[in-house]
Amino acid sequence: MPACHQVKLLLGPFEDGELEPHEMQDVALHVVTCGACKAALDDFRSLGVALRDSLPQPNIDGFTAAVLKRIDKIPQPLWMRWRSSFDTIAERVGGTLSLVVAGACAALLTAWLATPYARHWLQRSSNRNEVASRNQDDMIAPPQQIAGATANAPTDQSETSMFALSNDPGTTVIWLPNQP
Amino acid sequence: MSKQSGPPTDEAELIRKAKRGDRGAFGVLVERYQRRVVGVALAVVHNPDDALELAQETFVRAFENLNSFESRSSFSTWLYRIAANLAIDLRRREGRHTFVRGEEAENEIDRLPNSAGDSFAEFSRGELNRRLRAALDELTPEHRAVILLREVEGLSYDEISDILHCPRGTVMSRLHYARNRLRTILKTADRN
Repeated sequence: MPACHQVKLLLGPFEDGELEPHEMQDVALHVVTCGACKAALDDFRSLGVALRDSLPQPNIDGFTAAVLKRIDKIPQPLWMRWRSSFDTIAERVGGTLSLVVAGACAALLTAWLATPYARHWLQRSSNRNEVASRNQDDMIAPPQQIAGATANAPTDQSETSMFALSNDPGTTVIWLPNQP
Repeated sequence: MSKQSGPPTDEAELIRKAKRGDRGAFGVLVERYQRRVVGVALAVVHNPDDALELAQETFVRAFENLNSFESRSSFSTWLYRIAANLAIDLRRREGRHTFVRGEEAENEIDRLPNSAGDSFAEFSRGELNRRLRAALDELTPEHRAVILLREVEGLSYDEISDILHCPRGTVMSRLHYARNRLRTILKTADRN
């Protein structure tokens, strides 16, 4: 069993429950038999209670409001504000609707971003179709033209400009693309 | 259609939301820890007005640095550490007190009076409270902080060691000194 002067150093931690189990047991056994250590331990206990009772606690009414007011002055990044807004919506109306809202927002954003490209693409696509249909007409035209050629007189100047024709039936016909 | 849910009570969920900028969730955390944070600040600066101001600053700093909190320690310990650091900084800036290092505190134990007299449990409550406050004022800030964090806030030795950045052994020796010193001051006052 430890001596009295050794136990005195352990009385505080014993009271606080901060000793190893075997030390707790040693101190407990000593305190039963030692009046001075028992008195010191009683004093420590009384001291703890008295300290808790004696110190006036500061008034914390309105503390949270004051903290939140200060926090509100801190600028928040944009992404955080958006995220917070979505979270608030999700909390209020449930997950499904917030998903729908998020989906709609994404669709609108995509449409807004994609519209100029889409318009450009559609414009280019219609040009291509126009050229293609003209070429198709041109493909059909040659027999008439050739027939016309045999008559040795192109009827329409704008159409004949596309072709180089020969009066000689044995001559190869050269097809030129429709240049604008 | 609308499901009105109350504020979440789970701490991890509250912290996650607060990290994403949810001030309402952070408000719940403030409500939960305000008294202890004020207590920790008070233990170090020993002035209620300064303690309240420091506690507010603690929560503002915590909100600003929430993303650096990685749940390695508990949220409460993280908060107490911020509060204690701010309080120690304030005390150093004001230069009102000397700062006793761990080794010095260890040595102070040797200067403790041996005879402490009889138990002081028989003091009247009002008288005891008055004497205790006076006795606390006689302690160094380091000893006062340790004993108040232990006895009033109920923190463990490891928590105190973590918050005040000193070894556990130093916490034990400071606590031992502070208890015996208070006991002696009270007994001496009783005899006089």
